[in-house]
Amino acid sequence: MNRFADIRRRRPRLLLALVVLVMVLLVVVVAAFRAAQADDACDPAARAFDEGRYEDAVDEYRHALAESGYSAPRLFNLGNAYFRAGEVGRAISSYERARILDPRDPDIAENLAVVRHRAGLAAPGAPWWKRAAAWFSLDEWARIGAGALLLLALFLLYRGVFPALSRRMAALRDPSPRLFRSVTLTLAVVVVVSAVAIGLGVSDLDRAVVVDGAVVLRISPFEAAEATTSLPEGSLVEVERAFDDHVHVQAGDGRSGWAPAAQIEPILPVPGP
Amino acid sequence: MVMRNVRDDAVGRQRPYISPAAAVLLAVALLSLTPSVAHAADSGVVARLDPPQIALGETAELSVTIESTSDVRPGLRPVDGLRFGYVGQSSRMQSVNGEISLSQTFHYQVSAERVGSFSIPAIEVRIEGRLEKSEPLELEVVKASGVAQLQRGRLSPSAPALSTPATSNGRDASQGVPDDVAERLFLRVVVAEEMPYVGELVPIEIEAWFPDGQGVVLESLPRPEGNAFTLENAEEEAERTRQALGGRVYQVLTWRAALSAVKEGRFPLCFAMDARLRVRSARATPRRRTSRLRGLLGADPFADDFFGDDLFADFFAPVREQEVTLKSEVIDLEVRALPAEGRPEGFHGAVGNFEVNAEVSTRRVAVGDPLTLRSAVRGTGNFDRVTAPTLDAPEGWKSYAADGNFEAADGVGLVGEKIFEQVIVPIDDGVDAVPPVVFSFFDPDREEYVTLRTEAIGVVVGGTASRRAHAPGSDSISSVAEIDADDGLVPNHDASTGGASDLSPLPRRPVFLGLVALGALGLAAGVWLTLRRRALETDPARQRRRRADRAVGRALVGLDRAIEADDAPAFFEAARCALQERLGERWACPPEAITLREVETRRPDVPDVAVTVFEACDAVVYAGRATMPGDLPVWRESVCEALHALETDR
Repeated sequence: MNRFADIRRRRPRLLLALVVLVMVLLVVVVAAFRAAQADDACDPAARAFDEGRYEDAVDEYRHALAESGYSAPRLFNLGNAYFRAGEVGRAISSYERARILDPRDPDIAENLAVVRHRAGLAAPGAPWWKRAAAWFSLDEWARIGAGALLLLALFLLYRGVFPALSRRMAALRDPSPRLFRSVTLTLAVVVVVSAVAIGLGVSDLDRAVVVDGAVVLRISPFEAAEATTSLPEGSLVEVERAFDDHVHVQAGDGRSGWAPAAQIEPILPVPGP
Repeated sequence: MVMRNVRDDAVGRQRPYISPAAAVLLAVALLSLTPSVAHAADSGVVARLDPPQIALGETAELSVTIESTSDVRPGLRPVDGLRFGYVGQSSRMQSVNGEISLSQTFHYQVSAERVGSFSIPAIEVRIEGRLEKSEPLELEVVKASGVAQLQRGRLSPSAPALSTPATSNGRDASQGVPDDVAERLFLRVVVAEEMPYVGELVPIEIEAWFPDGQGVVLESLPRPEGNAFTLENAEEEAERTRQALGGRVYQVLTWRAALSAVKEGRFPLCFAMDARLRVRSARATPRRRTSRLRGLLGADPFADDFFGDDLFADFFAPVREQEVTLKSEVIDLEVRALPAEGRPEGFHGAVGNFEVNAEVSTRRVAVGDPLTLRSAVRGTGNFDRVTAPTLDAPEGWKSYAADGNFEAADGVGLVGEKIFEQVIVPIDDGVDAVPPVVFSFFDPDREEYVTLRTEAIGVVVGGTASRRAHAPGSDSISSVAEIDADDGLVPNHDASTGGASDLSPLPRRPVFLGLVALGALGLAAGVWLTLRRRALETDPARQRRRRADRAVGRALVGLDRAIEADDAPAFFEAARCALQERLGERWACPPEAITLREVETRRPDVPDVAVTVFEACDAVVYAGRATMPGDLPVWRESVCEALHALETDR
């Protein structure tokens, strides 16, 4: 009897443990399924790449991206496939995309350098603060900054309402002025640094890459307009404005002009209609 | 040379005639050996001329010393061909055995208008009724160059090269400039080529020499006179050096530039430059004395600054600015025309020595695809006339205008590299190479035209604009990037992990932005609360009020409970407590210290209803006065009215 009474008393705890176990199992199964699905999606691409069918590999990796989403390794492999298929511009575009997700991956940086070197393109220079800001990805900076912002808000709210709370909960402790200053200053610095880094990174998102061969820049957005200069495939440009099927771009060396939009691929893909 | 004065009854001595050359030699010998101390006469007037021989354009200093205690002035008679300029005067007082003597010296600057011998008549002064005279003086004026050499004593080894440049020049513009200063200003020009071709850039150096320590403000850069030459790419900043020449120290400004002749023929080349000199007018010939000292001791270029000037006399002398124009010596240049014979078609005026090369941005294009042809012309010459090399036999290609960019390797743009970028488009799939580029120029060393031609650059031109039609195993090259497997790429990564559906970073996603906005709101609220807390903590009145509000709130709750329990003593105790708290806050004193007596004492400051309630409270709590239970709600109204009155009167 007593044993049954014990079981009745423990039932809620057992039920809770069971629910947690089921949820964990569910998560594991879903993750495994997705991994298997991704593996399946990538297998044909890897196979095509290994067999030297680089254009097929490109198609397969693009299919995998559409099916399983963007990931730095997938974009990296796509860049390799593009390069082997002779599409320098799209290879650079893929590596740049991979770098958005994983800026600290040395392989991405190395392959970017190799491709640019082979194509005779100069590596775009960046001042030290931009390089430092690029140590974390934009997502990482966003998480760091948002986390610090929320913590700072909670900390200030807690300290602001502490006198009222302390009347109800005697166990609460008021942070000392020194601790308050230190924590507030640290979190504020983190928030500001993150905001600056995000600002620097976001400005780079408007860049684009010249694809499908060298592009002729013209003085106005028409095919018949006079050419001013040309940019080799793979050049990084900044898109300033668009008109019909042309975009006005500016290269790192200051050259600018109108180029066919089809030959300018934004690093951040434009969402489809 | 010192002339002893004589009495008016004395007769001036006849001076024997001497030739100018002999006078020069004699003057130099005397300058070297004779100190310029005048022998003071017994009394009267002593005149002296220093030096007695000058070059045309220089000045001598005439000093007239009068020994007299009265205020007298010498009278100078005009001399044809000489100009006298009053400089100033000095006085000296002596006391010998109680006898005081005063001498005054008047200084004049003497300059000549022509070469020759001049006689300055005796200077007459009336002293204490007596007419006293100095001896007549003789001044020899010779041509400028000879005296200059004699006075410099010795010239530096480079003197022959520098003696030819015109000296101060611009004499008309430099009226009033001390002649010794003006004589030491000059331009010197060194041209590398004596027979340039039309359009050829010839390196040139222009030096402006100024006496060290002379204040000079440059008004212009050196400019060629006439219209036969132009100065190209002159450095705006001159190189500044100090150089010694002829026993003097000079500041030398050197400009490097390129000279270009615009037409053929024989033309004089002369440079001019405007400047302003800062001249101290009170002492125009400050260096005579030490010049002779240098003549004795040898020229010391660095002694000039330290011992050459009477520092204090110059310091107090007024300064004025004088415009001068410096001119160089005239150099005759023979400008040759470019030969008409053998002139190539593509020649556009480039003269010099060049080499050219070319490269293309890619060697794999489709018909209609552009590529960039990059031609570099490097060497020495007139790059302003270097035009883009042209395509030799451009059939099958369409070319656009080229952009040129020159990068100089020297300061004046004679040496460097001019890079041209030109977009060319294959319009025929039959072409297999970018044609050679051709560049023609005239080589002045070989005195002939030279045409350079690069090698053709092999390219693969596909039949269509799509380069993506590459099939595995095809023998065509898809692009420059198609390479073997050992291309240096890092191998593929394991891509089996999942991915994000959107590449847009978090800062561009609305959910994240909403979260940040929430955080910002929380932050603003936290800041407001923190500031409010700090304000409360640092304001005693607000603290008292908050405490009183809380106590009054508790008392009102007690009132209601007492009414419910029909407990009059508890009711009035709570009412009294509430009034004490409010009055304590109002008077900034402990609430428990407030009594009915205190309230009555401050009656004008306390509303009547509050006094009435307080009296009732005291009566019930302390005097035990009975109250009808039904009255309590009425009393509650009174209590609230009293509290309200105290709050509104705050």
